[in-house]
Amino acid sequence: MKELSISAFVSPFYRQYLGFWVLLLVFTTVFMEYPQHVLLAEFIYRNPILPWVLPLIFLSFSMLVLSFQKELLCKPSYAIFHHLGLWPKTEFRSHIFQVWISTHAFFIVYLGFLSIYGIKAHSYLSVFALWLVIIFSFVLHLNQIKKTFSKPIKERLVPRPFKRLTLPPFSWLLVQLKEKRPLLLLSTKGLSLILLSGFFTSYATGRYDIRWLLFAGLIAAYFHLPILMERMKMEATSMNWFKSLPSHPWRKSREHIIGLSLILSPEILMFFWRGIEVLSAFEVGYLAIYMLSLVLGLLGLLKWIRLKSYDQRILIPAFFIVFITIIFSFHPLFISILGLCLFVLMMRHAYEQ
Amino acid sequence: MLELIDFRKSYGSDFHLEIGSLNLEAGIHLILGENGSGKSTLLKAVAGIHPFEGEIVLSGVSISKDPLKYRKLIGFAEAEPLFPDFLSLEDLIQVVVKAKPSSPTQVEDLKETLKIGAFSQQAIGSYSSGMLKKSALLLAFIGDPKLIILDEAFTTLDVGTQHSLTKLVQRKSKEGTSFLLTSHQNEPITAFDLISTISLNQGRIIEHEGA
Repeated sequence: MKELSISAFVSPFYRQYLGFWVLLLVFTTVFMEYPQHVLLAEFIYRNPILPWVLPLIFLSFSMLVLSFQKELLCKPSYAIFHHLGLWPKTEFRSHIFQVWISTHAFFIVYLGFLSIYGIKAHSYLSVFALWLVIIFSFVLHLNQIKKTFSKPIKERLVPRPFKRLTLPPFSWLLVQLKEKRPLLLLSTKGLSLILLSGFFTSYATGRYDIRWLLFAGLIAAYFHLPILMERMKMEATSMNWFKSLPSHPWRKSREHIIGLSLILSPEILMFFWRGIEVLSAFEVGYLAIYMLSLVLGLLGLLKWIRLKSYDQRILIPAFFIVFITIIFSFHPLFISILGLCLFVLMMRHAYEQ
Repeated sequence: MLELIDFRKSYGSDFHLEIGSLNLEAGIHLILGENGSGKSTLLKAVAGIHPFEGEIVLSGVSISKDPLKYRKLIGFAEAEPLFPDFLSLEDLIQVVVKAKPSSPTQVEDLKETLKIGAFSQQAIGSYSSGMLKKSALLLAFIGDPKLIILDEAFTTLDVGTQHSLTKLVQRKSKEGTSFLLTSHQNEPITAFDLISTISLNQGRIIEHEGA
């Protein structure tokens, strides 16, 4: 039963907010070392307000988990789990506790660490209040989930995002990301823009050549892999039916190019905004084409991997091949042509959308 | 056995299901109607899955006053069953058996009747539509439900399993279980001693034969 609780209720939570967890992990492990965590803990308990903010942060997070769990139980495929409401009380509580502790583990461990410094700073009352709120959050979680089971499932009629507008196929991926994976879209865009901005700032010092920006473009393109994988998942599930349509390779290519250009528009905008200060118009133009063709090439590569049932680790040598061509100063348009060739090859395939 | 009081269900302004009051005796009842007439909507409401306006009482237990006790009395197999694709049928059986205790042999007997082989160990994502249907049927019969709701039970089943299911429904009916069925296939239905047939059209009962 423990495995079932984890796979049905815990994994979907971490999967859904993967972008947030990755950012949190990167921030708390890469950018912060142990002494900095200690400094942070001491800073919090020296401040008169911050120790009282901690319970509020935990409670807000707990509300997010609760609303996610309730949403999950409203999914038609989770209707079977309404039988949990009919379970004997002890087994039901144990199931809810497993789910609650697994979804709150990171915060509980970190708050435990902070509490040690709270006790050292003699802030007994705020530490006590914090743990009281943690216990309260579990009781609330238990009661709310129990309440959900005693009610019929809320029906969700999925509204069309733009009622009077026919959604062209090139916009489907963007709409899917907006509706189903907004955090993925946000975190990908956030990371990629922060990275490009950093590369542009250092390029402006004049110590680097254009290869520095090409390398930035390569990393930013690889940041888009989760979005491309979402596209592949879409093709294998909700868009499977479209495989039977006789679609011309040009039509398929056009839809991918426009769709991915829309998704890459913030990066392309950044190339023009920041690049025009330090590059020629021609360089800015081929940098934008290079970025788009790298992402198209990655999509082609993913399709090729799926078609041949190859290991996805092929993506790693592919990264280094492009990296080496950058190091050896191959023209970016040459790299773009390589990416586009792979993309066009897959678009010509009859069983690829 | 089953009583619907002032039953009404709407989907925005597009669709209204208005049953009013309906009283069904113990036994097998068939609901007929064209696609979109409201059959599945009605069954989902009776199964306690979707909300509605009004009241439903099964064997004296009210869905609004005691929803958990009510749902313990119901077994439901959807027309197009959906389950989390990463779980197996065995996982789902564990969930349902804990909710509706059954005799040790019941699940094994049901597996044999519905010809559920080794696939029960595999992930649901790999099931065919027939396997999914068999899984939903097995889960609906677990425990001792007073009413079993089978929405399009025979669709996608092979002929052999259709016969086994027919016999199973007949046997359970003799043991005192009631059934609410829908079907677009005439042949399996003719084998049942129907207490009543309810015809729906555009969300309204247009005929209730045998009432």
